[in-house]
Amino acid sequence: MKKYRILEVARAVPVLAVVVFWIVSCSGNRVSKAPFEDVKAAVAETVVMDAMQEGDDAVVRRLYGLDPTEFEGSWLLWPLSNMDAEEVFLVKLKDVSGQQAVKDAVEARIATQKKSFDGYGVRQFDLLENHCVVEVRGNYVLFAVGATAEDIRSAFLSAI
Amino acid sequence: MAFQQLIFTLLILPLAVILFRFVPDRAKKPVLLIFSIFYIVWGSAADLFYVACEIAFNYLTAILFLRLKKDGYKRYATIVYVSGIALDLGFLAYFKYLNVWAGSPLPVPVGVSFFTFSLLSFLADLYRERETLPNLLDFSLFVTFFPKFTSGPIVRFVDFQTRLRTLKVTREKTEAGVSRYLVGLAKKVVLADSLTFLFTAATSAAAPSVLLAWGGAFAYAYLLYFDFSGYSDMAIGVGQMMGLTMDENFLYPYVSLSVSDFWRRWHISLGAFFREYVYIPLGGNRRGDRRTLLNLLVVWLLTGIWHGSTLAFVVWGLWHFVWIALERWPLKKILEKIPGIVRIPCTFFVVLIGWVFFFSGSLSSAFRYLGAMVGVGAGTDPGAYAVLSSLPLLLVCVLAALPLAKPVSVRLRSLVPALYPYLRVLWFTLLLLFSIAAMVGSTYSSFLYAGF
Repeated sequence: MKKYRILEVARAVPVLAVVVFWIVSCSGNRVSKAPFEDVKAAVAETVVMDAMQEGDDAVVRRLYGLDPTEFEGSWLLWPLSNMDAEEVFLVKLKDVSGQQAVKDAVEARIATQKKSFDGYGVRQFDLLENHCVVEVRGNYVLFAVGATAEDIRSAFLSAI
Repeated sequence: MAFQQLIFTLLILPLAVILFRFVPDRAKKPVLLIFSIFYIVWGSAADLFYVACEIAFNYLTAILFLRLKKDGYKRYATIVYVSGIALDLGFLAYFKYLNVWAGSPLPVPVGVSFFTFSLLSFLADLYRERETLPNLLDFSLFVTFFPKFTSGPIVRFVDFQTRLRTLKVTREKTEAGVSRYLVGLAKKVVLADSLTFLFTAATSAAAPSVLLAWGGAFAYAYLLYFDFSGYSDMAIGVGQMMGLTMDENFLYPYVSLSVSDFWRRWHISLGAFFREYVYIPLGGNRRGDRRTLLNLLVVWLLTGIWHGSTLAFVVWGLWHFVWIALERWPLKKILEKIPGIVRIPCTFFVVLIGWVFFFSGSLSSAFRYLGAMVGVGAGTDPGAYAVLSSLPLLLVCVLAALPLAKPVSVRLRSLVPALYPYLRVLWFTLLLLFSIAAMVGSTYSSFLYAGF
């Protein structure tokens, strides 16, 4: 049986490689127990509200095609006018299975906004291109567009 | 990168086809593998890592159990074979179910359900001695072959090997592939993506009206069909352009005479996989009615679970199992007396109810939606605008889902034989133009089955 040992060990190597990869990858994506209101408050401190307004569930459905009742919590700040691109969308998922759907919806929203401003809204397009943050961490998702997007990201990561 | 993206349609695919045509025959397989690796890496480098590890593990497993068998250690060979199958299924289960439940989600590798089935087919066909061990290049190509990588069709290892041996690019194959690709592209970006408006209106309404709920379900039935059969057409078309033919995955499922007939026409390669590797090894229908019923139950439970981790998918699988069992035994004689014109809409209705479980994601959402369809809990959101504005599109979809293309083509060829080639070119040019217009005018929408 010894002559088969090399093959036994060799086929274990890719399995171990996948396991190690999983462990390393999972370490940055754990579920957070931080209450939604605390995270929202931390994010709110870094937000400049000049060009944004709060959106209710209907606005979330309209802009993202998502149903907020399926989340543990959600908070949307959306552009005050059609000529603004600043936006913040914070979601706490009930479970992580909804992560991809929210991520896809956010990416679709970014694509729509970019298409709207491409060619004539130089400042807005620049915000969407260079000051846009999407963070998916376990059961929390953050999407922020604006000059303070990086600050919002830092506050979000600290809070969760 | 996806088949329905402008960059793929207008740049990458034509370049790849032209380049591939001038590659010497002996270099075609390595070049195809390079294309496939490029296609996977474009999506995610992590996906390539997983696939490479899976290829290495399965190839070494196959070498080991084949050597053990040859040396007479059959029991040990079986243990190695079963451990290979178990690890492949464990990998799939981790990403599809445990990954989500464990609360530490990792991005699910694109096409994991499909390439895992390729690996299972490889191990099973070798273990049952239906095929000999291929070289690593052929095996890697079987797993990664880019037209089928993300969403199938699921090809059995033994079939792929047979076709790989006769890999040849011909002008006829390329022309057939291009036209097939264009049909699939139009199905996806012109029809399926346009139907999302009505479907989203129905599912995002807090309380849809009866009309909107039915409209949404109807839209989803055609959206899923054109999305997935469109992908399959593109995959088969790209395969043909690369010299490899793959079997059909759809055969006008919405004209099925029964639910059993529907499953001979819908996602044919998945049904064939379960029949070949689960149903028949369990005994199929050769061990009496009770055992046949149990085997069917196993197959339909697995079909449901394969599609998703929620209970709604299990119920969807069981819904089809119940109807197939009814058709096989108590309803068999009754069905024989019912004319096809009645059976087709009845079958469509059963399938439509099943799709509600399929798209709802959870049992509570499915029952809420079904309630809205019969007026229970239906809301004030009439959705009349969404339904009425989508009616012409729905009509086009109903017609496009009928088996009309071939008879129309045959009739045209006999009526105007001289003009026929020009009409054909005109038709495919129009399809391309419509598709480009649709792609330019809308945001990217992924294939629904890529999520499975």
